[in-house]
Amino acid sequence: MKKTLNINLGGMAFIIDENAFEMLSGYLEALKKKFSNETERTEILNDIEARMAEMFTEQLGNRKEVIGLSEVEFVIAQMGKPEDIAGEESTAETGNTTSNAAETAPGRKIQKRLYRDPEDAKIGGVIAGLCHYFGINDPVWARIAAVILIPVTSGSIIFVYLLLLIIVPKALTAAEKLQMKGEPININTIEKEVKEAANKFTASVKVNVDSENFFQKLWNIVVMIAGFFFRLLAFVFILAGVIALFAVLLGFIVFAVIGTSPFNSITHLIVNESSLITLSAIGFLLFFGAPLVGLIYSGLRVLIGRGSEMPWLKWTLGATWLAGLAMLLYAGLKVGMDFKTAAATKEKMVLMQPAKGNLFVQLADSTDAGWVTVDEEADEDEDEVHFGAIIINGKNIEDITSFKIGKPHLELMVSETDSFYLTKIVSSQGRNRNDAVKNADMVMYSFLQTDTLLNLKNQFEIAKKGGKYRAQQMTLRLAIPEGKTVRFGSNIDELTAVVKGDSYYDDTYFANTVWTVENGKVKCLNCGEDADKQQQKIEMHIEKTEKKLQEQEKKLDEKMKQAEEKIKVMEKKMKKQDNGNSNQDF
Amino acid sequence: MNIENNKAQMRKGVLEFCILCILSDGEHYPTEIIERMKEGKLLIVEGTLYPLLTRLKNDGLLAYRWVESQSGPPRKYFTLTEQGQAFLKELLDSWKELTESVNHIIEQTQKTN
Repeated sequence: MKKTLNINLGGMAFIIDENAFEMLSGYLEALKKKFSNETERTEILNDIEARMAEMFTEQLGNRKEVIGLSEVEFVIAQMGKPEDIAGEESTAETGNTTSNAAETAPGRKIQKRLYRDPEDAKIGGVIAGLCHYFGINDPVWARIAAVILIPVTSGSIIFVYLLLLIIVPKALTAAEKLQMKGEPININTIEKEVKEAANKFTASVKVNVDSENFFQKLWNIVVMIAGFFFRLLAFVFILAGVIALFAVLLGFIVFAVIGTSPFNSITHLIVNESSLITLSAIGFLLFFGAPLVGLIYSGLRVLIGRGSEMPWLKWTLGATWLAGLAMLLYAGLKVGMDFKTAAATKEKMVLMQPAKGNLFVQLADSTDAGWVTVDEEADEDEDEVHFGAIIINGKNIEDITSFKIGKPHLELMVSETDSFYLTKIVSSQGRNRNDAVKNADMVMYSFLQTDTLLNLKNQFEIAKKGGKYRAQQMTLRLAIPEGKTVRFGSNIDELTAVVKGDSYYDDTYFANTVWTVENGKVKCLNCGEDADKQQQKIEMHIEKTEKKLQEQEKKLDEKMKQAEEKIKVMEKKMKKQDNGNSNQDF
Repeated sequence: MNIENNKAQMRKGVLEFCILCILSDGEHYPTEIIERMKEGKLLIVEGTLYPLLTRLKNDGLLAYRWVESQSGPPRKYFTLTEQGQAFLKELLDSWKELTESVNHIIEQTQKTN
C-alpha cells in the first residue's frame, strides 16, 4: 500500500505515488535551477510540464489510474537529464559569438590579482580577498585561523592585517572583481558579475522598504543592540576558550613531554607505568580540549554570523570527548586497581634499656620541615641557578631523595617482658596481598636512642627512586615494662597518640606527661594536672634542691672551718716542738 | 580541448538549423519535431528542444498557436514566420557552402595522406 497525491501538471490532474512525486518534483526543481533567464524559464518549464502531462496520459491509457515510479522514470528518460538539457543551454549562450567561445575555452590561465573583497567583507575584506587569491572557497576557516593567530603571534597579526588593509586596493569595478577571482574578463563574465551585484542590491533595497514602519525600525534597533551584545559575548567566549585551550595544551606538554624527565619522579609515585601517564595526558587533552574547541567554534560562528553548519564537527568533537573520557577512566581504574587490597606488616624493634629505668621520648628536631628530604651533598650547590628546574619546598627536585608521606600514630602498651621495646606496624594498599606487603616495606622510618633519650622522627618516608605511594599508614607501639616510666617531650602532640585498649585516655594530651605500668595497666602519673600545678611542682622541686644545696654548702663550710682549726692546732704543736728542740740544741 | 564540448557545440549549431528546416514544410508540435529528428538519426532528448524553441520564438523566427488535443493538454503548434523563412534561406545557403568547403578540405587531406 502506498500513499498517493493529487497533482496538477500542465493543467491536467493526476494521481501520483508519493515516491514518484518526490522524484518528479526533484527533477523539475533541478531543471528550474539550470535556466538563468526568468521569463524564458517559466515558458520552457510550462512546455516541458505540458509535454510530460501528455506522455503520462498516453502511458496510463485505460489500464492504470496512478502514476508510479516507472512512469516517472520513463518520462524523465524521454526528456533527458537536467545536465544534458542545460548543457545545450549553456553552449547556446556562449555560442552566440565565436570570439567569446574562444575566450571561455578551458585551460586558459588568467593572471589573478590580490584585491580586497568588499562584498564578502567582515572588516575590510582582506581575508576574503586572500581567499580568492589562494583559491579557498569559504573564508570562514581563514578567519578562524586569523583569530587564533592573534594570541599565538601576540597580536602582531593585527598589524599585518592593518598593513594589508592599507596596501591592498578594493575590488570596485567588475573587471577588478573578475581579476580578484581569477576569472577571464569578457562580455559574458562581466554581465554575470553585474547581474549578481544587481540581485544583491535589490535584495537589500527590499529589506529597507519592508522596515519602513516605526515599530519595525525600533525593533530593528533592539535586535541590533542585542546582536551586538551577543557578539561581544561570543567574543568573550572565544577569548576564554582560546586561553583555556592554551592552558590545557600547556598541561599536556608538561605531563606528556616533560613528564618523561624530572616531573616523572613524582608521578611515578602513584602511576608507575609511563604508558599510563601518556595515556592519561592524552585523555586529559581530549577531555578538556574538545569542549573548548566546540566553544571557540560556536563563538566564532556567532561572531562571523555565518550559518555554515558542520554537523561532522559536532560528532567529531563528541567522539573525541568520549575517547578522552574513556582514556581517563581506564587510567583511573588501572591506578585504582593498585589500591585494591590492604595489608599490614609488623616489626618489633629492640630498644636499649635505660640504666635508671626511665625513658624520655621526644620528636627529633625537625629542621627539614616540609615533605621532602634532600641529598645534603647535592643541596650544597644551591648558588647554582637551575633553569627550568622543578622546585618543591624550595628544594630542587633533582636533589630530593625521599618524600615524607605521613606521620606515625603512637600507641602505648604494656610490655610482655621487663624491657622497653617498639613495634612498627605499616599498612598499605596494593594490587594484591603480596603487592601490598611489598608497598608497606617501602616505608622508611628511623629513630635515634642515646641512653634514656629516644628521638622519634615525626614523619615516615618513601624513596623518590622506586618508591610508590599506596596510602601507607604507620603505627608505633611503645611497650612499657612494669614499674618503669616514660616521659614525653613537649612536641610529642604533633603525633596522634592513644593508650592501646584503654579508652580512658582517649583525649589526653601527651606533652610533658609521665607514664608507667602499674599492676599490668598503663597509667598516667601527671595527666589532668593543669599548667599552674605543674609549674608549682617544678618550683617546689627547685626550692627543695636549692635548700638541700644550701645545707650541703653550710655543712661543707663547717667542715672546712673544723679542718682549718685542726690545721692551726697542728701548726702550733709543730712550732712548740720546734722551739723545744732548738732549746735542746743550744 | 574538450571533445565533448566541441561535439556539443557542433550539434548545437546544427540543431536550430534542423528545427527551422523541419518547420519549413508546415505546422508541427514539439513531439513531431523530435520524431523527425530521430528519423534523421539526430539523437537528442526531448527536454533539449523546449529551450531552443522558446529562444527561436523569442527571436521572432517562430510563431505558435494552441491546438486542443484528444489525449492531454493543448499543444503548441509552431510555424516559421516570414523572418524565419528568410533566416532559414540564408542558413541553407551558408550550410551548402560550408559543407562543400569542408568536404573539399577533407577530400584533399585524404588524398595527400
